[in-house]
Amino acid sequence: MTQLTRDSTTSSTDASAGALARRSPAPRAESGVLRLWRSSWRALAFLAVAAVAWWLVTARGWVQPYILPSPGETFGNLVEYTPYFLQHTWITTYETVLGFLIAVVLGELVAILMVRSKNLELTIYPIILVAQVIPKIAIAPLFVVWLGFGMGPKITVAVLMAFFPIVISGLAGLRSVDPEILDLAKTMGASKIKTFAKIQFPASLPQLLSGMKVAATLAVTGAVVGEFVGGNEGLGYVILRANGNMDTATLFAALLIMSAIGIVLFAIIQLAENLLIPWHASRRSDGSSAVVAQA
Amino acid sequence: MSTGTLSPGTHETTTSTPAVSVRDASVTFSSRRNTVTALSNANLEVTQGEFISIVGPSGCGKSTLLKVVSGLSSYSSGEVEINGSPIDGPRPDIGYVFQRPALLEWRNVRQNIMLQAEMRGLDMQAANARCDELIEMVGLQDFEKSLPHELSGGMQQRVAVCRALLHDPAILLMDEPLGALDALTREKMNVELNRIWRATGTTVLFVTHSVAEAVYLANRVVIMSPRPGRIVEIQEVDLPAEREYGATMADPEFNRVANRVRDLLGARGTQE
Ligand SMILES: Nc1ncnc2c1ncn2[C@@H]1O[C@H](COP(=O)(O)OP(=O)(O)OP(=O)(O)O)[C@@H](O)[C@H]1O
Ligand SMILES: [Mg+2]
Repeated sequence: MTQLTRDSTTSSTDASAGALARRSPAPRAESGVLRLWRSSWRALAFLAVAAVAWWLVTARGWVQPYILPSPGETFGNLVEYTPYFLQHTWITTYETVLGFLIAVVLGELVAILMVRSKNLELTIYPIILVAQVIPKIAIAPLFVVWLGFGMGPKITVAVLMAFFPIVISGLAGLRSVDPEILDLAKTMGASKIKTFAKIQFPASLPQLLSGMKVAATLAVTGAVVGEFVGGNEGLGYVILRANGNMDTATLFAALLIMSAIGIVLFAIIQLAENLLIPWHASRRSDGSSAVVAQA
Repeated sequence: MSTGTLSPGTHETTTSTPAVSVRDASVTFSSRRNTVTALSNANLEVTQGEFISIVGPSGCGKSTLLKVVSGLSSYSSGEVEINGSPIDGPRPDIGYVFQRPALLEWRNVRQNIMLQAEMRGLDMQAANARCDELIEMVGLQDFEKSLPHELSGGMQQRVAVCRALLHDPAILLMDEPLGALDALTREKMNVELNRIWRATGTTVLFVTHSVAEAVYLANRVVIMSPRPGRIVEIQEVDLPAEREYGATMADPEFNRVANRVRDLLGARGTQE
């Protein structure tokens, strides 16, 4: 994997060189915190505005609390019942992450099989497509029948949800290799395994990783859908029960946690992108201007 | 500049078997819309250790000829042999510089060159030493750690040339390897290529659009013409193997061949 990590000094020079070009008073070496702030302040500002609007709408009594609880009530609920939320959050996170990981491994394996053999591709593709178009919420009860009320059916639904984007992006990535580079590998007498490990797989990473971002958010949905259908733990169960009690504050709290799980997973993959594919056009910090400054 | 691991005459063979033998080879590409004869009845016999330059207008089948010799493309008819044995699939004993640099985006200059060693399972220590030499030869010492997108087109081509030379191949196929270089670097690379060729005894098939470069480097110059792609003439260059940049180009023989090649290319140009 060492060939994937770009010389860190180079990339930091890139970033600061680009920053210098645009804003002269910027410090030469920017800290990670500052960079994070620069890239995310807009989103944070929007969130702040939304939170204020939420508070205003509820504080003024324009909306009934049973329809929209106030931010105070929601967060108060979170604080008051922290152990309860933690327990169920842990369950949902576990199901999501496990489902996601299984989907990544299975999906990439299937993608590899499909690029290896045209026959396999023509056999598997329709099956995967059918599996994808069946609404997961509709087959989830079946998994409960088959796998019981434990985590099995939840993880299965999460895997099913996340699987499709992984296969599709994995396949597209493996196909994206420049044919001339594959020719080159042949002139080197490279084995299939070496060609895969050193050329096809690294070349497929940009696409695979963007598929993984989609898959991660879908895995959360999958786990929660599974929890809706059967069982008595996880955030999906919390939401169902809160709904039954017209307890919108708990419901909103659970929603917030679920979004947080998705966002954290997404951020982890984003981080992996920065580490694994700094060379890719989508990740080059400041485009071509940096090259001039560096040379 | 040391010659290091370049031992003289590595590939001198005792037999008189031609290194490359192309007899009546034709290549056609068919699509739904049309059929293109990329190569029509080509005949070419290359002796061991010979340097062959190939010139001709765009689309005349130069790249196709190299692909066929490398075993990457199949041919529709005729016979192609390397060292006396017919081609069946890609040859691993060659070094190929493609028309495009074909570098791996995620590998820096050194890692791209070393791909050759990794894929072939060469001795890494020797390969690294050789890699140092080559990088110095093409003047990329300061860019060893740069990624392809940080290099100019000419620099990328030089990396591709190093990669093809790393394992000291018996047959070197080069498809316009110096096309994107500035005139000075190109001259320097020509001198180096001549030196490497003499030192290793490699058989070279070298495609170029520069007539001077073609004649300067070659034992023989193959002139091709398009639609259908074919070999129109093969010109012998009767000059000693060791070329000198100024002196060779002032030689009457150099000018004779160069003018002949220009005539052939020019005449074809006005006819069409
Ligand atoms: N894979 C292919 N499919 C269809 N046609 C092809 C293919 N490869 C080459 N050709 C055709 O064959 C002819 C010769 O192509 P080739 O690449 O050998 O030309 P060339 O002499 O290398 O030209 P250039 O100097 O522009 O590189 C062209 O007319 C081209 O359109
Ligand atoms: Mg060509």
